[in-house]
Amino acid sequence: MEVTMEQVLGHLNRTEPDYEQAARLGPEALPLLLRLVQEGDPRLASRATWLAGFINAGQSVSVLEEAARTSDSVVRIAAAGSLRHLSELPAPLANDLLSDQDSGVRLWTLKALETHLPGDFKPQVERIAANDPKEELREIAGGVANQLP
Amino acid sequence: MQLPSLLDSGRIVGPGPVSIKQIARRCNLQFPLSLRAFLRAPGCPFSRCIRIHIKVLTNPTVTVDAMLRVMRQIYGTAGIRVEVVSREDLTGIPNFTALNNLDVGTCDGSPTSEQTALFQNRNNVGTGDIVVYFVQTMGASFDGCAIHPTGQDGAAIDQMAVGSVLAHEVGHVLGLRHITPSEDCSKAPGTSGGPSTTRLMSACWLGNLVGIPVIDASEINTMTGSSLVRAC
Repeated sequence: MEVTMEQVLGHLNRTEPDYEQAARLGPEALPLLLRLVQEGDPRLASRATWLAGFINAGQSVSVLEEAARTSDSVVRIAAAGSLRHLSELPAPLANDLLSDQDSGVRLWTLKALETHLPGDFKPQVERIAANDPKEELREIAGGVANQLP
Repeated sequence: MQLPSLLDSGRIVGPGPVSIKQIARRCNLQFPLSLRAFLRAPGCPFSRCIRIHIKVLTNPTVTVDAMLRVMRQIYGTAGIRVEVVSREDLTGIPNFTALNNLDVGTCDGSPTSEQTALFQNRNNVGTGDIVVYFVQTMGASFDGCAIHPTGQDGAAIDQMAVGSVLAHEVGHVLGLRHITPSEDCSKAPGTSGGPSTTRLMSACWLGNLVGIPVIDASEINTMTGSSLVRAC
């Protein structure tokens, strides 16, 4: 079923979007979400990214990758926060976000790792636990590292 | 007992500078007027109150005071005074880093574990008080969320929220729902069937609102019927 930009905006242009309902638009909405991220309005781009995570289909990762490349930290935070909604963690993207300059992005990525508990991230998380400039993030990373296999 | 500041007492309500004398006259207070008498006068300027505690993890782009000014004008139309009982600055406190990036899930139904943890921070909060937490992000996905643990009434607000989000979220806490018939948020604001440009409880993005938003008689009934609205 074709999804229109009107339908997508109808869901995203809300104070408290209902992402579960919006996700029923399905993977057909993903090219439109990608376009919203590329167009660069931070409010819509971050919500489009969040919805892409809820849709949780193969092409969702492309939307999150585009969001992770933006200069606006709010949009990158949405990309990091959306990782936890994906059934499979895209490791290269998670790795990039884990070394983001914004501490909020790193924090949301750590939260996603706590959800997925991937097997190959322990060294990176331990590095954050030892070296991150933010003390509180070092503590949180230490807790996540202990949970990782 | 310590007196609240004039601003936080919520007794000054209006779009612009309002004379204390004018309000005091409306409240039948005697002159010469003492500030103490003014701040303690029952029913002045309204006979109903809500008590709010502000806890700031991240300062919002639109200041808390600007949001409160909007809220007081709206709630004033319902005869409700908005008293700020306490303000707590939690910015830069390491323990709050994780909660400052708050996972609210789908902001529907039950609170997440992070919301539950955040709402446990209740310094100075009494029974029937409302707590508003200002956070850095909710995953950049919501402007505000009024889901809260039972008996810990309150809401969380994103730092990028527009000025009427505080009044909107506390409106939810007081039992208000989004307006019906539901709006088509994809349309241009103010067009037929499109987002309201006047109603506080519009479901669409509140940046569409023009001027001070309104609440209708039925919404006022709901608010004044809330157990959180008390005589004062």
